[in-house]
Amino acid sequence: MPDPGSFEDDDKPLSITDAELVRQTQEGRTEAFDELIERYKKKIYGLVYHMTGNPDDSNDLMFEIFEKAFFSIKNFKGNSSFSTWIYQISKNHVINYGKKRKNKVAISMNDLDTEALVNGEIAEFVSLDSTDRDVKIKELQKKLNEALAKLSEDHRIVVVMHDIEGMTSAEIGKVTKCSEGTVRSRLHYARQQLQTYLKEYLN
Amino acid sequence: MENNQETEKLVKLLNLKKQLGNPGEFYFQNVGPEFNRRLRSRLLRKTWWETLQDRVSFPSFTREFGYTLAGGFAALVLTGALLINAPESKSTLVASAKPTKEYMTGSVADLVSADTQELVVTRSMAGQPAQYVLDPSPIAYESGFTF
Repeated sequence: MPDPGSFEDDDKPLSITDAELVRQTQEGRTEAFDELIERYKKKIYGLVYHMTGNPDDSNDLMFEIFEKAFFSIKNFKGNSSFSTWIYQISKNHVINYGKKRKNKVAISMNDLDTEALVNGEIAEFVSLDSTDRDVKIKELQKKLNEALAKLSEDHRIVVVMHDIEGMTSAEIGKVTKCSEGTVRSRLHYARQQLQTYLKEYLN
Repeated sequence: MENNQETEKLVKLLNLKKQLGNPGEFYFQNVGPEFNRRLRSRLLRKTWWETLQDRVSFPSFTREFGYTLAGGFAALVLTGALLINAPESKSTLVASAKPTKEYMTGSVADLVSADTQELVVTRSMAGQPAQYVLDPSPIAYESGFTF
């Protein structure tokens, strides 16, 4: 099964390119934007969720990002790809959200479907007996969210895009408007920090 | 070497986070319709000014247009300030030169409205039926008296 949130998870051939859909939207065909939403909803949600650690707010933020994109698409000139452009909007929107909610790391577990997890992968990090399986998984997730929240926004976005969303350094460089070297350096530093925060799971 | 292993494990852990955090397929089923519903309600809430802003765009002139507006506004404020602080103008002098009621008989006072600056009522005529002459040239342009 293809990974729903990854950057390159287009498992079906796209008959119409993003650029064509953008052009149609600019001409007033709103159904073309609906198709763009279909293509990017999981990616945007994934990025927002892993940046904020809050599934409830992530849902609203995702809609706000799409609204922002919809209203400013007339100014999109196609100098970059649509995906880079919408990731830039998402990044800025999430950073603004973070500034408003500084020091409030909200971690809600309401929508998590822990049953869907592959036990084998989890078992590498936590021991799972039947009684406290869910508790341990939630604890692991809480720790992961907290560790990411400790990183600066510049470092967090790089690690989320690269290690969680599967984007390349080049793509991240375009979104964050910095060189690939800077992306790699930030990724290296962010991983070091995370290794310190998550020591108990890595040993 | 140990560091590499730790990094590998960390990447696995972060990958796991993705599985833990991403909701199932059902979660995304109504994103499109929900987006359109939100959009409609937002558009209904919009003020006429917001709608105008959306329709009229100044693609490459936004900043310049802003500067022009700011400059125009500053010029307007400056002009206003200069006018307020200017010395008494001629028109004010003309207004103060208007005859007061004590020099007029009732019938003339009725005729003289606040802005009939051309009326000149002479004092010597006070006892007689009121007369007035229309000054052929505005008072402000008359040369000063010399004695």
